[in-house]
Amino acid sequence: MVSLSNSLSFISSPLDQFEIRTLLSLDAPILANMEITVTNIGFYLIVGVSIAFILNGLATNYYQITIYATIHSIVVNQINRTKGQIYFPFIFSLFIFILVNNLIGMIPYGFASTSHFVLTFSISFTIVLGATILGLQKHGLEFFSLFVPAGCPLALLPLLVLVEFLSYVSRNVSLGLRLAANIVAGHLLLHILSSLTYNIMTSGFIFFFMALLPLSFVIAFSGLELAIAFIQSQVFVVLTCSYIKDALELH
Amino acid sequence: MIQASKIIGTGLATTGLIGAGVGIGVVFGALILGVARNPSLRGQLFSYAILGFAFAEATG
Amino acid sequence: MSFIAKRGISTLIPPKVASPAGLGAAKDAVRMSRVVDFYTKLPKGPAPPRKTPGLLGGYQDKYFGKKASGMPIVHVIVGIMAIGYAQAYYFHIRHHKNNAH
Repeated sequence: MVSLSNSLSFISSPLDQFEIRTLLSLDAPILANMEITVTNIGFYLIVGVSIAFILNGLATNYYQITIYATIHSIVVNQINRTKGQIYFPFIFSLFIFILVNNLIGMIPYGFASTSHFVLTFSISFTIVLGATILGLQKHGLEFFSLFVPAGCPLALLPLLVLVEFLSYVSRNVSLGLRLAANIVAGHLLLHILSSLTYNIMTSGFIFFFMALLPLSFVIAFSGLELAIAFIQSQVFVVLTCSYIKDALELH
Repeated sequence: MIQASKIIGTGLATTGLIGAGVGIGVVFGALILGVARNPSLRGQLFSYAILGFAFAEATG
Repeated sequence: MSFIAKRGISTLIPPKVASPAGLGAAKDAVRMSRVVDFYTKLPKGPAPPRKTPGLLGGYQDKYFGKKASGMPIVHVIVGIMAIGYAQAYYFHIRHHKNNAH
């Protein structure tokens, strides 16, 4: 049992990689002890946004056109062929932002900003709240007909309205939770698997070759995580589009 | 003993992933069935399948 | 009537094709040599690619546009790995140099 706990203490906590550390901070005893800090999440968000800006400024070809066509078809299909076009810039920049931050997380020694619930929840709450305001502005009080399913018996109405309302409110959480939970789970899995592989590899000559099997798993899961980085940003955008559509057209 | 049970418990906790695995399998199996029945709907069904994959994956 | 008769006369006179001044042609030779000179000094061959102005113009010419390549992705990866390793070293690795956790 002693040797077991010894070998366990070798493994660092897999949650270490998500730790937020202060890089630069400015503490001033003015304005109620204001404190301006650049943490590593802030730093990597700045890096991600600058990458997105530079790529969009420089890319004159293929890079952009594929992404552009994909997002444009999502917007057109999900929202509306004519009325949906004005939401395209928002959806496009949202997609690029999430995708770039997911991919920065996949780089070794990088940092996954989208694994932080603070970030994803603030994005998703903003989106759902914005869609609600959009619907209220467009339809007035008629917007609340969104919570009444068409052709339901009057006796069931209170229950169904409650259920619909709950499902509408839970969009806030589920949209951000899905993205962050996927990224966190993927990074934890990769970290645990790779530290296992490292421990096996360093424990002996024969073990080095035995560890090639878990190493191949690590590589395969890295590929899966890359795919998930794309899929999650696409799903985020698709759901955003469908929420905007709900607000615009009320079913 | 407690240490060992902790580790076994950690392992058991990961069995929840079975459900996510089954879900992903169902999604893509249904995609293949749908495309086999009507190949012209392939693009639309694929985007729905990706959406379903993400939903199932999010629970795991 | 008289108008038409006048025109008939004017067509009868042949045009003045050759004259003593025209036969010498010294003026035209000077002009032609200038024209030839101008055209021989023009650059030959296909036009050189235009340089994109701006801070990252050279980078864009090198890796985007006509000869697009995946190298920018590699540059981004290398840059972020360098920055990330520096951070990991500062906060974490140097505390575990000799004793692994």
